[in-house]
Amino acid sequence: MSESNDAAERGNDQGASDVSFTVKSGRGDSQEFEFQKGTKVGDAAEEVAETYGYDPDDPTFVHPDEGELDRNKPLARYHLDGDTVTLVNEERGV
Amino acid sequence: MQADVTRTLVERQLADVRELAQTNGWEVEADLDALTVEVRMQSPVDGEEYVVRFGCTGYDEKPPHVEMVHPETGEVGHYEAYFDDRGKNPFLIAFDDGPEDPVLCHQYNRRVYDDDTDLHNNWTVGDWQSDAGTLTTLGDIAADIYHRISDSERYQGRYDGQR
Repeated sequence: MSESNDAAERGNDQGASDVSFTVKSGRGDSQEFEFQKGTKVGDAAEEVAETYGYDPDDPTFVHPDEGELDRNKPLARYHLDGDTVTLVNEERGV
Repeated sequence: MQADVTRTLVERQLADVRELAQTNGWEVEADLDALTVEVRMQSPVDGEEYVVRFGCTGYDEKPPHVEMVHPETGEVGHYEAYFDDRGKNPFLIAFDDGPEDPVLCHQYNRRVYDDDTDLHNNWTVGDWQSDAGTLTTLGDIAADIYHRISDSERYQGRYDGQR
């Protein structure tokens, strides 16, 4: 469904049905990922979390303008192409 | 000696925090002698500013003290410095000595383990890294707090000092 760093290698040879964006983590990870636009945010975030070695716990992304992305919505719902987002996990609290 | 180990670790993790700051428009200030880091961030939901202060003495044998700082007055721990994330579970904000004494209640916050805090007597400071899930670095903790103020359903705005 997706492969990290592929987008950069493909340059402009990117299908209209795909979206590529960079994901940073709190541990210094930063890679570009490419997904089909119909991929749910939560599924994409889980894949990124696993790639970065996190034990995924309902992860999602935070976009600096759009805020936290809804895990249940497709990536196409947001304007992410070429942007950078932050990986966050749904962690425990009180 | 311990302070040098902590300083090296904080300096390394500070680079990760600065990376996230570049993406998210945060401002980061660090005092490596005092072992403190402050991160100023803005809620994408309503534009409110929040300042997170990490007190890192003894880190990471022990978790950092994580306090909110009033963005205008600089007062540490004032209730108006806090956000309200109780729009959905799980939320962070809890209360120690009444509604005007909020605490970020998570295993990553040393304040929860303080002797004069009565929130989670069943938590052990020595186990904080295994108990805090993935939130064991300054970058991950900062990202977690940013996530709390970026979800329009969870985030309820600035905390008003009421239950």
